[in-house]
Amino acid sequence: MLRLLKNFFINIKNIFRRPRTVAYTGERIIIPEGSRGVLHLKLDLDSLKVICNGCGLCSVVCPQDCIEVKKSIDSDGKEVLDEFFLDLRKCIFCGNCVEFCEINAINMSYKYQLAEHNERNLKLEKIELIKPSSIIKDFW
Amino acid sequence: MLVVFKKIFYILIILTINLYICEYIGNKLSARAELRRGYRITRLRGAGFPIVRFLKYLSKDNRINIWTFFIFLLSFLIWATVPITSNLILVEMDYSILAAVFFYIGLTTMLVLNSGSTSYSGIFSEAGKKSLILLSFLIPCLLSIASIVFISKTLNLKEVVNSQYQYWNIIFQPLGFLTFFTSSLLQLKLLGISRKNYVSGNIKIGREGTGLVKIIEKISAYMIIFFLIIILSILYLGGWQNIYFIRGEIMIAVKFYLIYIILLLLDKATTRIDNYRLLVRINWGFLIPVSLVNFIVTFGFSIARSFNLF
Repeated sequence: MLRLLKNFFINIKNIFRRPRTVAYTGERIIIPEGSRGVLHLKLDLDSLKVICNGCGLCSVVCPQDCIEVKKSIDSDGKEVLDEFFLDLRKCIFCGNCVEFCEINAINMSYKYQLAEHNERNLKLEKIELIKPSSIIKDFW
Repeated sequence: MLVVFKKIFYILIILTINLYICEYIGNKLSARAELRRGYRITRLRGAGFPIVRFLKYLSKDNRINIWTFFIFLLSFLIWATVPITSNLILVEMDYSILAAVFFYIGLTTMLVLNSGSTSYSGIFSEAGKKSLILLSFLIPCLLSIASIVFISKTLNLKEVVNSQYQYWNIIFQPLGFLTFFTSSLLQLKLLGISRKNYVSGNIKIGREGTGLVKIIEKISAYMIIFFLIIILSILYLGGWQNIYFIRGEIMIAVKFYLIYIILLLLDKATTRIDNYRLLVRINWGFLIPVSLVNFIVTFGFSIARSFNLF
């Protein structure tokens, strides 16, 4: 009986609370802190170049084998990132790559609405992974 | 004659508006209790939801048998003897409670038996069992009504309301109110107003996609609940008695929606009872004994009062 009354008052309280669901296309939702979206390649704020040096550790630890990294050597004889491919068809957003990155060059963005008409669009390149829009939390 | 047609028109308008509002409230409340936003395919916060649902069922082709037609007829005929307000009654008679109870039992029986019937004119044994359980919930209701009849010494519903000008009957009959209310709640559960597929198995109440028959079953299930709520407010809560400056018509509407919302929320608060033995245990172990004790005590008091014992 007490449980029934408790549930009854919880229901009454819920009526006056804000609903958790939204009308999908018309309203935005606030994405919780720590959500895992598409990978984002960090930029060095002074030189505006990619921090990643293309060591390829992320592609080694990736359980789905969805990251492909190519590196090159620049004029200073330093290893730099040449190409970075992410296959979203395979990615399970586990976050292993972010955890294992030694120079902390990648993180998970809040971009999560990934439906595409064309399958080829799900294979992202370096330029698409650098876009700042994907790290702004409320943008999506 | 014109007055009768006018009254029929008013009753039909009130029932239609009530159906619309109750369907809308049911949808919204069940969504909000689960922290959902609810059905929003139409604008204006889903105000068109009942119409959309009505059209959805109407568009499906389905044959109607004679019993469905009788159910449709009875679900409106039930309001012939039940006064919605002091003037809005079609047939003025001294035995209006008996007539109303007769129509109510007839409607419930026909609805449940029709829902359990198959295409080869048989009745599922499971459906028969469930219909018997639903019908057994009428016993506490009838005992509670009989107790009120002993208190007010009349079978006329209007006089029952008039006899409550000083105190509402809920003060004298709290156990009767409790059993009547619990029985109404369990009937609401069995009829599947707020939860779909409650009566699972072969019985068709609350199942989707049976066309016009579905609409008629849903309307008649709503009518049973409306009837129970109106009878509850007339017998125990003073009916259309004025409170200070508030008119009686407004008061009965307020009571009606308040009881309906409380019933819906309690239905949400209780778990989905799939175990029919539990329902039988609640009914025969709690509702019927309590209402029987209430009836016997009321009967004893009324006998003692008639002999001027106190």
